[in-house]
Amino acid sequence: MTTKNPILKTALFFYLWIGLNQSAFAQAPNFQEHVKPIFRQHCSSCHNETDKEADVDLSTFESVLRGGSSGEIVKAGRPAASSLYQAIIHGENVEPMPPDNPKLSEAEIKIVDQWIRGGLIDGKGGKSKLKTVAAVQPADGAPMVSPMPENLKPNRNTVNRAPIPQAIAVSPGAPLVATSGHEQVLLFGDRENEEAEFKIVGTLPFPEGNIHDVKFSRNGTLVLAAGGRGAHSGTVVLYDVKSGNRLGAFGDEVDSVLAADISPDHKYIALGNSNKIVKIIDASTGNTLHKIKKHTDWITAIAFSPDGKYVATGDRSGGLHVWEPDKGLIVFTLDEHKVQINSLSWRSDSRILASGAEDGNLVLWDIKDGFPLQNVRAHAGKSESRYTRKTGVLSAVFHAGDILTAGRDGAIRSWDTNGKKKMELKIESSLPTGAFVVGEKKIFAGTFDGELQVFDSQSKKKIQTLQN
Amino acid sequence: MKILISILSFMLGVNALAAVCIADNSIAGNAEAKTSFKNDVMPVFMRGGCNGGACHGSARGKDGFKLSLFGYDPQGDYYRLLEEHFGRRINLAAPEKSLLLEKAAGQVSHTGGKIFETDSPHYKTLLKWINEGAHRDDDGAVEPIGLEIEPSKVTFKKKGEKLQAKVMARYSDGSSRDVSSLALYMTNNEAIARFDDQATIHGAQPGGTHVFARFDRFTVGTEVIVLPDGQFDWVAPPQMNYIDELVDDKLKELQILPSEICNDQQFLRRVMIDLNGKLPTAQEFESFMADQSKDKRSKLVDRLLSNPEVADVWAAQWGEWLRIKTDTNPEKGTAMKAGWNYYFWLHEQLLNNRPWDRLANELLTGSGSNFRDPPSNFYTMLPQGKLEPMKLGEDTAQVFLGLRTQCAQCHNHPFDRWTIDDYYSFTSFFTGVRRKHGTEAREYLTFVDVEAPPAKHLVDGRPMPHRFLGGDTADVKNKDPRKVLAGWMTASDNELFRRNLANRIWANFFGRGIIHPIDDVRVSNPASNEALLEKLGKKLAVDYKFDPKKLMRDICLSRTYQLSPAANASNSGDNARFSHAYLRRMRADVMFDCLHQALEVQPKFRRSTAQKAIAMFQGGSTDNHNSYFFSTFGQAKRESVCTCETKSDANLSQALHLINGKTINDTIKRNPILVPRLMEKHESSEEIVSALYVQILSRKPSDDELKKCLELAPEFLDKKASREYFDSLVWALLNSNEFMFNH
Repeated sequence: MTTKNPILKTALFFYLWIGLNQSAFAQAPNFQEHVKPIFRQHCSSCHNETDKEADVDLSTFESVLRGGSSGEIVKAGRPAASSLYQAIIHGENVEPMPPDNPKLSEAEIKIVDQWIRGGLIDGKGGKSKLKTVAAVQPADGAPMVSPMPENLKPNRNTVNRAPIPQAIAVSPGAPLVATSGHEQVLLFGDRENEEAEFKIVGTLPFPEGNIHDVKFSRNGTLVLAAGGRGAHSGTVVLYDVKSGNRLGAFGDEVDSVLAADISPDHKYIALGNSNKIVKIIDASTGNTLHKIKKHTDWITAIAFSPDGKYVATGDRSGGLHVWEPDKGLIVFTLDEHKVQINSLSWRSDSRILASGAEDGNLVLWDIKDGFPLQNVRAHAGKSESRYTRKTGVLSAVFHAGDILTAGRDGAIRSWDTNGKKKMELKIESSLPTGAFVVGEKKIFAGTFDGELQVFDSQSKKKIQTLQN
Repeated sequence: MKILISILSFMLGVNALAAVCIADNSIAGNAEAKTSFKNDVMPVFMRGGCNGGACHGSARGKDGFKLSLFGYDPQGDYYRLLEEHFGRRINLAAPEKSLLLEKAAGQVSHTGGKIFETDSPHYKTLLKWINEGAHRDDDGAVEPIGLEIEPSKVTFKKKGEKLQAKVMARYSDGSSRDVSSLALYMTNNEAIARFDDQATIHGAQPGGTHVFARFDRFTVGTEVIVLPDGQFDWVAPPQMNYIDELVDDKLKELQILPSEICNDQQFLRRVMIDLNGKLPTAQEFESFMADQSKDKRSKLVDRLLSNPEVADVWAAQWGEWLRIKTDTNPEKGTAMKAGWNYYFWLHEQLLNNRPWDRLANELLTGSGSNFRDPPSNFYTMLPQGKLEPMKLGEDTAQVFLGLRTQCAQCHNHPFDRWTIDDYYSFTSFFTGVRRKHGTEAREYLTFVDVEAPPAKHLVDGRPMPHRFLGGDTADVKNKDPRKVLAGWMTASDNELFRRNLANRIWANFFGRGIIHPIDDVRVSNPASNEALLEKLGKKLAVDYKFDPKKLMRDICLSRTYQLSPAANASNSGDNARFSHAYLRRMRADVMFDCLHQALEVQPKFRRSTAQKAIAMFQGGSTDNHNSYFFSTFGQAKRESVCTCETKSDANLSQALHLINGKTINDTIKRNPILVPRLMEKHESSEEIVSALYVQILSRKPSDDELKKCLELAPEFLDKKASREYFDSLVWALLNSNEFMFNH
């Protein structure tokens, strides 16, 4: 842009920005060029060098970072945890700003949002405060091989309509997918060839009721199913993949288990439900080792780290904690989502945790210090209505160093750890309940209509539809 | 293309099925019909109480599950049932295992217990909907547009009779269906009539009341009359004007005989307090009693109506409704100077008998400085602080239309017709109101931004076009929306407005409105005499062009107003149909003035130049000298526009204050005027006792009272003892209920 006219420049900037959305930025917005003019126009009469209402001075980059009498007002990568952002969007528990004047425009709010998400860059070409973590190193030796079911006879329960695959898991080392059926786990795959069409290869009975979570163990030898009968009973059942044998049931809850996982060494089972307590259970004895009572709402997501050192747990109000499972102690409280966390996933090197929530955000957390690396508007719809705007990340799963997400907007997208979108495809006329990569290039998605749709990740074409 | 066609045909099919369903009067009974979420499923939540405020309808839901309160948000309810937690609440694979059903049928632990049996029609409706796939309604699906109840009036010949009512919903496609099994039923008076779950009305005790059915966002009522036992012979009482005819129609229907007409003493005191806020003087008393002319009552009414005190009485009430109250905080824009200007402007309008439609119009469209343009204080005094368009809409509706729309800010009004849509469409008239400081900090300038966008809907944020309450969409393009609103509101055919003003005038003379409370007009709070209120509103607006005094004159000259407070056998239970005069404790300010008038003492007020309590421009709130009296006797603190702030109950602290408090005792002791004057003037105890009765109670003592008083009286020549005795008598008379009440 060579024009000297600042108004034209701004207009052009908005034009590009609205027209092309964030892709118009080579880099996220910066303070000097984009944010400072907004603060100067709307905030400077109270928050300047001399007046400093609430000890907040918004005139310089440094003073903004310094914050005010109640501490930091902006946190890199975390608009929801930044009180300044909360104030201008008139969020909860903060004084709405500017007082007695109209709210900032949508466009202005978005710039501040992008600036915080982008890592609080000072000036053009400045450095983002977000860090980057090195790409995942390929594991040494041959890829993992997990077992396939042998001699399992699929025996589907009679249903009124195909059940919603509300829980899906993919074997780490075999062309095998497990989904929640009606009072049974459904296993889909192909014994010979991951390129071939999938078919149902087995069913694992779960007479305890409705299944809300399904997981494979780290080496793919075990399948875990969690669920129960709402307001009545809840449990977690482990199955041997190869034989289909039921190995044991854990937990005797008074409501369905909503989320569960098994540690990589098969030592612990973590489960949670509407009683807001996460239980760490000894898988060999069935004894409860720890009851973690830090959550304030229903537990909705649980994931052990691949190295077994941590377990991450998320709840319905956005509470997200990382624990040491053997001690039951908090390592980090990851404060950014304010609404339900739907999905948690670890990168294979256990350095990054991905969280997807109803706010439409995908956050990547550096597990070394608990700070966000990226905060991406992964699935955010546009409509103003609360329930038709289709905002929300329903699942977020690491695969080969990238993250695959499925959202309420009907889209499935993949992202690299720099928050850059790599792929996108749409589920027609239904909601995806989760999306996973199987083998090299198959994307496997469940839908609200009770289907399992398989896509080719290169051509993005649907290559198969299965009934769940 | 094929897909498109199949989707289209599917949708058409659905609509056709839905239409069939409704034409067949079936909810879920018809096996072919597709169950509608909004029209079949949600009414079950309403009927079961699931979406009530104490259960899942509470703002935070209950036990983790929320439904919109009384179902104002079908989309949100659908989302929470199906999509918030896939598979948890609705199990499409095995419908009867859905948590929704297991909870409602009490099969698993449920805080609300068992709501219905598995073989009940309501359970079957829900199960059928889930069996069909728990579909959401298509866009443009039929929706209810009205509700009717049959019969619209019931008269039970004796107690214990019952009647099956029928509730019909009308739908947007012109169809209608019987929703008796889905509606909710209420009564305004359980002692008179009950309305059970099965839509049966049961008569209990004799009297009249209303029962109601509620379905979707509609409430409809039926008047129920239970006649007393025994023979009733209507004895036609004298009728002075149209008011008496309409009151008598209602009394005849209820088999109630009105009381006799009150005597002259009662009438004089009553009408003086009501019209002028004061007691008759001894002179006025004597001359009225001596007057032998037939039209002396009407002459008296005309004289009182022409007195300037009428303006005092009404300015005090308007001051409460409009919240005239000052503050030293310049940010509020309610400086003493502004409040004073506002009051005196208002008082002047009333003194000049400005028609009330024009008064309302000028208030509503007030602009400019709160110091120089008094009506603009409407926009600083009502908010008393931050300017909120929603609050302005609420207050305007309450003051000028008698409606309480507050409920509809968050959900459809549960007992009235107002919806969230109505609320925000009405709020839109005020979104352009702006204020800024004038040349000095205390001054506020009110103006309007005609470009301001309308209010946004709470649920989905869509802009709500300006629409009159219960009326049409307004054309406000390039206009001050308030002017458009004022035009609609004050039109002579606006029933809400004219009925509200007529009812407010009526309440001044009877201690209660025909709709009561006067600012709680709603379907479920109907008029106790609909024809009367209708007529008064029409008279005021059409015949009298909103001249309030003309209506006051009709009221004061009616027999209904002039009835005795003494009840007869048939009307002793009546407290709403105006068959006898009701006892009314005087308003705090009027009572304060009457008390001082009787003692012939000029009261002292702090921070006011007024000579009378009723003329204090912001009520007694800043008069810390007498504030205990005002607050004890329930003077409005003007914290809201609600007329409920003015209390007319009689309670113990009031009695104790009159007995022991300083208001009476100090005045008698420190300002001995009345008794010395009478002792100077009169020659005997008898004359003085009689004079004190007239002075305080506006009547002569009865022979018995006189005899008893004289028995206790000391020798008249013993001045000291007599002084003491008469002081005690004054104290006793002021402490009588007869003084405290207007009757």
